[in-house]
Amino acid sequence: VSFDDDLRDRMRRAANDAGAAADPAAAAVKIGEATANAAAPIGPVLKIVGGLAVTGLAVGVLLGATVLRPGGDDLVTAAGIDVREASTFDCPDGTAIGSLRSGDRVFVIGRDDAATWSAIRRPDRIDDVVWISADALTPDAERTDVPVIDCDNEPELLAAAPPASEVPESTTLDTTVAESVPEVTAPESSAPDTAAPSTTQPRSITTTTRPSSPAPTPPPAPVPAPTPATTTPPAPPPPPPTPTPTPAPVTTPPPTPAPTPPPPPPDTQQPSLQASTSSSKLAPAGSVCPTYTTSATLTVSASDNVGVTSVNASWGPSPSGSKALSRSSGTAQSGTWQTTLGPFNGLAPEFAQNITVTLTASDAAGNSRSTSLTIFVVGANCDFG
Amino acid sequence: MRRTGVNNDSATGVDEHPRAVALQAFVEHDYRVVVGSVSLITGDFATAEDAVQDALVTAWRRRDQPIERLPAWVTVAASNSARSGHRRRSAERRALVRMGPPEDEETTTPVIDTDLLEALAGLPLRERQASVLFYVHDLSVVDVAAELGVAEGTVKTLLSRARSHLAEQLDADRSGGVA
Repeated sequence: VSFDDDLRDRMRRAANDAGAAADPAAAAVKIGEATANAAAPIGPVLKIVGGLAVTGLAVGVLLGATVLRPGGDDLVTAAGIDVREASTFDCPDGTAIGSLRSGDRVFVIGRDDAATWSAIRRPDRIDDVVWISADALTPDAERTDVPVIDCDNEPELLAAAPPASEVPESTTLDTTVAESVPEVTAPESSAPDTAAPSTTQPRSITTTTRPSSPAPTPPPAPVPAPTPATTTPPAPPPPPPTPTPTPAPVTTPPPTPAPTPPPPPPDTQQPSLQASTSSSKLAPAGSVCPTYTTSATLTVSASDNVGVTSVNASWGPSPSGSKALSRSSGTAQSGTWQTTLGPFNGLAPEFAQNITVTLTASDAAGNSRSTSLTIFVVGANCDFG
Repeated sequence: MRRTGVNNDSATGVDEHPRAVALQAFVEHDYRVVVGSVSLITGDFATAEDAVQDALVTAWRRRDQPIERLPAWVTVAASNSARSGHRRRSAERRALVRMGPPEDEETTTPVIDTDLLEALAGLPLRERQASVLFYVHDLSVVDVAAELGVAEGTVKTLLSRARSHLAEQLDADRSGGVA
């Protein structure tokens, strides 16, 4: 028997002896607990998911039954504000308490007898109900059967109001009071058949309309101004079903003059400049005049309190011409401008004459200043120079 | 030794999961010898059984990962965790010794080849693991290398050193002398 065989037998025997006291049942219990724990989380997860699903279904059914369901017995309907800004009131003929703006979303929960006022859920005070001109609203769907409710009957209003959770989240409300709102919309009366327009029109109301609405509107009727302070035209009567299409009267606030800064003082300061040339003796190209060059670089250092806009060079009397310099460095207020003058070809061989180069710097206000250089120009016979 | 390792695949239920089936088979057929194997490596029976049970739970948690040789995997995993938990359990045992066992608790001390245990105790952990896997679990050098995550040459080196050490110790014990 080799040592390896002996060692193998000895170790196996020792392992069996050492493990003889082990309790497989305890291991089975532990494994059972582990497998049970693995299955356990499924239950709570399912409960949570199921609860969410049931909740969502309930909310969906509630919304569908109260808001979204097309039909004739809906109590509320979602609507958007269709005018630039519309005041809200505590009652159809009550006090302006706030305003809504174009794009705001509200719930319409009721109307007055004449359907000229709509009771809506006030977004910032979900337990409250406010009134707004029906003309200012654009319902998501046509609803003609919202209940007629009485503003003075608060329990009735609250009963008609949808739960807070149903108020659209996108709804916003500008809580500025009507007096500070430049344009609001209000119907003329909540009971046009029985009450005079002047007595039913909300206080502090000016009239506006949908900016781009093509809706037919009766011609404006003369209505006494509600308050002496009101400067805009009075509100038209509620829109009866009339086929006469008439553009809605539009009033725009008087343009507010924007504060204009005082004009800057006029720029009367002339630019200053200094001119130099790289050569004062120019000869035609191809000439062999030793002390002459064929061209010269004109350099102008120009500055201005506002800015130099251009530097020009003109020369004459013969040859004559002009040329604009370009800024090679610096800024408009203080920079260096350069250009190349010459070569002057085609001159008579014996030509020899001084030319005057005038350099003019200008600013945007038209102020300019000039300086000049003298350059001797010769023909091919440079000796004549 | 039976090889109860499986490769996992989809299963419909916990009890029907291939790993659960493998663990049940392991408990029935391999649990005791694996606990004994880990005892040889750790030199502590109580630590070994706890570590084996923890390794079985770990094997279940990792049921989506294949384990080719479950007894060998549990042996290595348990011996590794027993090493890390050795200090804590040693402190617990010392406290129990000071307090004394409960009067109604019957303690069972396995009768083990103490000479072999002492000889194994003189080996590094890796050599003990390689020796147990090779001699007790009858794994090939290739399989031992795979279980320990080392190269085959490393396993050969580990086994050679372990064999030399054990031969020296056990022959000395047998002859009654000290090498």
